Amino acid sequence: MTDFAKVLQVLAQNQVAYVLVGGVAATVHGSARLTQDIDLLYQRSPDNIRRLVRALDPYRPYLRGAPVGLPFQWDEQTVEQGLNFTLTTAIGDIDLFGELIGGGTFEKLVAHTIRLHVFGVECACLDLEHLITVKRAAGRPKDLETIAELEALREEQDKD
Amino acid sequence: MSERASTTRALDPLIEAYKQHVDRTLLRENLKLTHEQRIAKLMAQQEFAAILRQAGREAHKKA
Repeated sequence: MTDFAKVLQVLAQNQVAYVLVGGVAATVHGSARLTQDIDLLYQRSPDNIRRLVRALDPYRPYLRGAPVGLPFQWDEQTVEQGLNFTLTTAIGDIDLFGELIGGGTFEKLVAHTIRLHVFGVECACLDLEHLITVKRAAGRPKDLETIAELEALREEQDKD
Repeated sequence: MSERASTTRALDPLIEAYKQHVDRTLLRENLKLTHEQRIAKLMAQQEFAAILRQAGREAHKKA
């Protein structure tokens, strides 16, 4: 299980710049689908990578699904040399994206967010319109039901 | 129907087909909740799913 509240609190405490995307963002917009992990589009600046590494370090990030014993060092160099990471941590499964397929970077998408005030912290969540755009751009068959639900949510909100 | 929704539907009949099977009653209930309540509900569902998975594993062992 992923402690979504704890993840958001830890990131806020360390002033990590990111946008909440994926299934939890869909939940924020009203989705009824169950998701196991939390997807974050993080800013790729050296300072932010430093903050991100420091924030998650106490929770022992490791590559999800990788064999035990694989040499994996959670540090700034690893994050700088990589881009996207699917991690398992002591507070749950966290997917970090330096860039989204078809959706761009933190800098491109941060302007299309809503500000959330949850669990005592504030964070940026991708707005519904761009969440649909990103899902569509990914072009994965498994996202078809999700896109349909997000568009249904948009229609429900348009009624109000 | 809004112009935006109309355009989307015209562009993607595949999504429209999937949309017919969306349970909108669940969405409407969720939209009554705050953002924090929606995330808290997701965490509760995760916990419930974990309990069910564990029960399933134990049932398979006994079988």
